[in-house]
Amino acid sequence: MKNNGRWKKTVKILFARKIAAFSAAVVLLFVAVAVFAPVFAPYDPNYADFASYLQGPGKNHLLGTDNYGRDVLSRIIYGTRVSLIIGVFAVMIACVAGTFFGMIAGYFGGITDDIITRIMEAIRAIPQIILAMALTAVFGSGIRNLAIILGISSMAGYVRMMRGQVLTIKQADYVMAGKLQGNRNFRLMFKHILPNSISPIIVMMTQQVGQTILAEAGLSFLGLGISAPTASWGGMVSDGRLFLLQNPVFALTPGVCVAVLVISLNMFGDGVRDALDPRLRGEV
Amino acid sequence: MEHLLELKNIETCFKTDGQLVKAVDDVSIYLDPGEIIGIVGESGSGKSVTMMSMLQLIGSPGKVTGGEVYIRGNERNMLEFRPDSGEMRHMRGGKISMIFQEPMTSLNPVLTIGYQIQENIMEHLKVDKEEARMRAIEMLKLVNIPDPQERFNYYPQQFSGGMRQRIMIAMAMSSEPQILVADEATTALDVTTQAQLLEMIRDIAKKTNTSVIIVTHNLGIVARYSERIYVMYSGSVVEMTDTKRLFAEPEHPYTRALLRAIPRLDDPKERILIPIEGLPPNPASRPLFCPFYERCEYRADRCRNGPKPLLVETKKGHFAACHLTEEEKRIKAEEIAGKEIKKAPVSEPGKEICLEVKDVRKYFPIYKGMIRKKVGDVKAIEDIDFFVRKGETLGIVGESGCGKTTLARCIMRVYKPEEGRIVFNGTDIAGYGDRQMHPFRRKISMIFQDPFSSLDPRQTAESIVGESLILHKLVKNRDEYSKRVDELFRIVGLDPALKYRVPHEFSGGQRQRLGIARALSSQPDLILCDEPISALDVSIQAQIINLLEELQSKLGLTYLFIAHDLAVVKHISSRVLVMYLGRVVEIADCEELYSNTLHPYTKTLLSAVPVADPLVEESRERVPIRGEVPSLTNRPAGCPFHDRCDHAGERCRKEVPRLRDAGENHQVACFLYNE
Amino acid sequence: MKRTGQMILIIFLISIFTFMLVSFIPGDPVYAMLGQEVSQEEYNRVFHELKLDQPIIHRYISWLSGAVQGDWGQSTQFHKSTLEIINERIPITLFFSISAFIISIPLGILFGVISAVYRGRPADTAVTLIANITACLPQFWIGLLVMYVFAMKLGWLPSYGFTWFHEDLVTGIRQAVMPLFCLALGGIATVTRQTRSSMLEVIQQDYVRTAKSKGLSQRKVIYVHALKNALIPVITILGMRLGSMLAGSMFVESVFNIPGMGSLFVKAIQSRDIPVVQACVLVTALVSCIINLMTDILYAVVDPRVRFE
Repeated sequence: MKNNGRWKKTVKILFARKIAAFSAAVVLLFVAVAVFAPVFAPYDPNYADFASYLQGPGKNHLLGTDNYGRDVLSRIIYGTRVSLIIGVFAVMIACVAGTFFGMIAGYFGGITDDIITRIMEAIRAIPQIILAMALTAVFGSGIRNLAIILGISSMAGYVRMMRGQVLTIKQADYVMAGKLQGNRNFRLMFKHILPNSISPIIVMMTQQVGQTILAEAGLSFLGLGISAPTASWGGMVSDGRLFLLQNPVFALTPGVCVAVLVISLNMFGDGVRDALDPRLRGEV
Repeated sequence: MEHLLELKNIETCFKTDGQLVKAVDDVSIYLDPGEIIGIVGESGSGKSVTMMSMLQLIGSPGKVTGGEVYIRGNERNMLEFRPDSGEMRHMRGGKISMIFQEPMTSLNPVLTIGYQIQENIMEHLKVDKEEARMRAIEMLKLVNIPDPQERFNYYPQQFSGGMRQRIMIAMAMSSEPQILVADEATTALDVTTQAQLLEMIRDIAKKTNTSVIIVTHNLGIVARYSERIYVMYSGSVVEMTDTKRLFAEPEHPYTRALLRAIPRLDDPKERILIPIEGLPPNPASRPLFCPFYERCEYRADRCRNGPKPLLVETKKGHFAACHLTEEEKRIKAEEIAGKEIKKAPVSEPGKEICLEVKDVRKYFPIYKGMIRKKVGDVKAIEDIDFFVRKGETLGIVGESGCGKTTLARCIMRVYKPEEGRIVFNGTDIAGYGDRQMHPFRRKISMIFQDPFSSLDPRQTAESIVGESLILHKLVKNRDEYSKRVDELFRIVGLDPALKYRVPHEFSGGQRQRLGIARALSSQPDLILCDEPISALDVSIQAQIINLLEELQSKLGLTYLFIAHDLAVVKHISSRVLVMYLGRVVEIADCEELYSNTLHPYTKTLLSAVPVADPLVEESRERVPIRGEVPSLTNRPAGCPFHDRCDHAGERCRKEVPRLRDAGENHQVACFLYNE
Repeated sequence: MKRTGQMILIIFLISIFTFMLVSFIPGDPVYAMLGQEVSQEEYNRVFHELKLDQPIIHRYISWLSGAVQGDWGQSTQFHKSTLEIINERIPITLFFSISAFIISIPLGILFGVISAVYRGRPADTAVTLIANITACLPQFWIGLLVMYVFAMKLGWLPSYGFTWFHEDLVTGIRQAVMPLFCLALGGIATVTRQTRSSMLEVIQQDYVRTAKSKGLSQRKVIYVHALKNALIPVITILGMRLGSMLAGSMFVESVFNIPGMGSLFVKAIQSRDIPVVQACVLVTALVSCIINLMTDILYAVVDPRVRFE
C-alpha cells in the first residue's frame, strides 16, 4: 500500500496516452491469442492435409496452406505462444540475473566490480545473436533452452544499467543517511537502493521483450531455434521462403506478426518510460 | 524621461498538466543608463523568468503571453519581433548580455573558451576573426585570467567554477552591451569568489557605463551592490525603491517580514529571528487577491475581498503593492512590536566534553594507470584538533574544498581517518569497524544539506522517521512504534496525519523537518548539521534555525553546525571553528571571533559577506581578496594561506603554523600571533 | 593505453569462453561433433586432436597458442583448415557490414537532426514513425519482401548470389543492392533515433541557452553548439552498430544466398563443426573489440572532456 498512489499515477499517465493505450491493447490481443490458441485456431496446427498443399488464401484456409498442407493461420496462432513465452521468460532471466550482478558490482565496487564488469564487457563484445547462436550449438535448442540462452546473452545490458544506477544512487544523501542510521549492507541494498533503481530496469524490460522476440524469430529462421514441427514465426518464414512464388502469404504473414507485436511492445515500453520518468512529465 | 530599458506588464505562462500557470504576472521594470538595479525574490518568485521573457529565451512549455519591451534605439516593442529575428538577436547579446547561475554547465564543453568569446564578438561587433581574437584576449585579461594568450585555446573544464564565471563575464562584456544581466550569477560560488566577481562586475560596469541588473535571492548582495531594488513575490513586483530607503523604511509587509527573518553578520548575539509562517502560494492555485495575504501579519479583511493590489507610489520614488494605508500599517506595526516575542531559548553548555577530535588526518590516494599505481594524495584534512562540550553548538565554517565535509564524514565514521583520535563520550571510535560502530550510530546523527536527496523517495515519511527505531530496537511493538513516530512528527512541527505521504509530496522546509525528525529518532547526543538550511528559501530558513535552537534547549543536544553562511553560523553557534584548505586556522567563542578576528583568512572571509543593510555596508572596512583557493593536490608549502595573504613573511612560506592559544579561549594558526 | 589493456583482457576472456564451448557440450564431445557412427580410428584421431586426455588448462594453453599462430584446428565438416575457410569467407561479410555501416551513419545523423530540429512537426512525426517501425522489422523478413517484389514480381534484380565488383561490376552491383539496403535500413533507424534523442537532450542544456542568449542565429546554435555535443553519445552507439551489422549479415547472407561468414557460421552450428564455430565467434569478437577501440579514440577526438580527465 506504501507506494500505491505513485503506481496508480503512473498507470493513469500511461493510459492517458492514446498510443500507449492502443499498443497495450494490441499486446493484450496477442497474449489472448496465445493463451486461447486452441479456441482461435480453426485447425490443428500440425494436421497435414497433403491433398491441399500450398494453397493461396481462400475460404477454407484464410491464409492458405503450407507445403505440407497445414493451415497457415492456425500455425501463426500457435506460433504466438512460442514467441511470447520465450520473450517473457528470457527477459525475466536476464533481468533477475543482470539486476543482481549489477547491484553487487555497483555496491561493493573494487575487485568484485572489476571481475563482473570485465566479464560483462566480454559478453557484450560478441553481438547478441552470434552469442546466442554459439550457445545453441552447445546446448541445443527447444523452448526452454532458447529462453535461457537468449536470457544469458542479453544479461549484460541489465548489469551495466543497474551498475550505473547503483553508482549514482550510492552518492545520494539518503543512502548515506541509511548507512549512518546503522543499516547493514544487504538491507541498504534491498530496501533503499533497489526500489530507487528499478524504474529504468522496468523500462528496459518492456523494451527488451520485443528485441528478444525478434532474436528468437531470427534464430528459428536460421534453423537454430525452434525445430520442426513446432510452429514458430521465424521457422515459418524460413519454410515459406522456398515457396515465395506459389504462396507469398505463407512466408510473409508470420513476419508481419513479428513486426506488429514488436512495434506494439516497443511503443508500450516508450509509454512506460514516459510515465515512469518524472522529468518528462515536467515534475521534478 | 526616457529609460534605457523598459519592461511593461510582462506576463509569462507555463503549461503544466494541461493547465496554464502564470509564472510572471504583470511585471514592469525600467532601467536607466549606468544604473545598477537589483531584483530580489525567493525561488519561484518569477525574477529569472522575467529576464528570460525580456530576451525571448523562454522555451516550451513556457510562453510570453503579454507585455512590451522597449530598448533605447528602437521604437518598436521588442516582443513583436520573432525570437530568431535579426532585431531580437541584435538586442540579445548585442545590447543586453546575460550571465547565468551555473558556471559549470553554462559554457559549451566541446568548444574552447576563446572560440566562444570570439564568436560573440564577431556576431555583434562585425569585426574579422583576428581582431575578435585580440579583443577576446583583452577581455580575458580584464577579468584577471592569467596567461590569456595560452588559455584562449583551453576548454571550459580546465577552469574552476569561479574562473568559468569570470570567462562568462568576459564573454558577456565582449560585445560592448549596454546592459548586463547577472541572473544569480554568484549563487553557486563561495563567498570570497562571489565578492570578487561582483566587485569586478561593478567596476567594469562603472568603467564602461554599462547598466547592470542583479537578479538574486540574497538581500545582502543587493544591499551592497545595487542602487535601486525591485522585490518580487509570487510572480509580481511587490515593492520598488532605492536601496537605502528599502532597507530603512520598507513599505510592503513582505519586505518587512523578510528583513526580520534573515540573520545578519552584524547582529547582536541575542537577536531573535522571526520566521515568516507558511509557504509562498503554488503558482497553479494562486489566489486572485493579494498573494501574500496568507502569510501577512498586517492583513485586513479587505485584502482578501479586493483584487490583487497594484504597485502604486506611496511616497516619492517608493512603490509598493499593498491595500493597506500608511496609518493602518503603523498601528499594526505597533501591535506586532508589542506582541510578546518568544525569547530565543538559551542553552547553557555544560563542562563535560562530548566529542574530542585530536590530530585527525585524512588523505585520499590518487591512482593512475592500468594497475592502479598510487601516484599521490589529496590531502583532505590534516592536524584537526578541537573539542565540543555537551550542549553547545560548534560552528564549522569554510569555503568549498576546505575539508569540512571530510571532517564530518570522519566523525560520522563514513571515512576512516589515517591518523588521530575521535573520542566520543570517552570512547575513541577512530579505528572502529562497522560492527563496533553500530551501537554508536544511534548516538550520533546527521542532518543533511539537501532536503530533496537526503530522503529516500520510495519510503513513506513514517518509515523514514521510524527506521532507526527498528534498526536499534528502540520500540517493542507496532503500537509503540507509531506512537513514537507521531511524537517525533509533533516535535518538529509536522502533522502526524501526513506520515503516509512520500517525500515528494512535502515542501522543502517540511522535508528538512522530516530530516530533523529522523536525526532525533534514535535519541542522539550529538547531531552533525551539514549545511542544513542552505538549500532552503530565505523565508523558510528562519523557521528551521529556530526549530534547531528550540530542540537544543529542550533536549540538551550538542550540535556540530557546518555552514558557509557566516551570519547563520554566528547566530546559532556558541563557538566557531574556521577551516581553510584542510586545516583549522582559528577557533574562538562566537562573539570573540567576530569582534576580535585574528587570522587574515577569517578577516577576508568576514569582509566578503555582504550585510543586508546599505548603511552598514558603506561603513565597513573591505579586505581585498587575492587569488583563488588552490587545489588540494598541489597545496602550497608552509601556511596554506600564504600566497593570498598580505602579511605573509619568509617563515609563512616554509613552515606550517600550528594552532596556538591567543587568550580568551581563542586559538589561531598564524605566525603573526606567536607571542 | 588503458583501453588497449582492457581490450586485451576482454579478448582473453572471450578466448576462454570460446574454448569452453567444447567442454560445455553435454556428453562426449567427439560423438557430439562426429555423430555416433564414427570409426574407432577417427574417434581416436579427433580425441587426440582435441587433447581430451590432458587436463583442461593444458588444453586451453595449447589451443590458445595454436589460435594465436593461426592454427584454428581442422573443420570437421569441410575437412580443411579452419583458417583457410574463414579467410575465404570473411572479406565478403566485412564488405557488406562495412559498406552498410558507412551508408547508415550520415543518413541516420541527417534524419535525426532533421527530426529533432522540427520536433513535433510533420517531418519529425514521419521520420520518428518510420524509424521506430523499421527498427522493429526482422531483417530476414525485409530481405524476403524486397526479394519478392524486386526480384520475383518485377524482375529488376537478381534474387541471390554474390560477385566481386572487380570480376563483374554490373552483376556485382545488381546483386549487392538488396542485401545492402536490408542491412543499412536497421542501422539508419537506430542512428536516427539516437541522434534525435541526444539532440533533444542537448537542446535543453545550459550552454545552449548561453549560446542563444548571445544572439547567435538558430543555425549556429544548432550546428555549432548543439550538434557537436549531441554526436558524442551517437559515437558510442556506432561501436555497437558494426557488431550488429555483422550479426545482421547472418540473415542477409542466408536470405540472398551469399557465401559469407554468416552462412558458414550457420552451417557450422547445424553440423556442430566446433572449430569453425569457435573461429567465427572469436573473429566477430575481435572485430567488435577493434571497432570499440576505434570509437574510444574517436571519442577523445570529439570530446575534449575525455582528453583532460
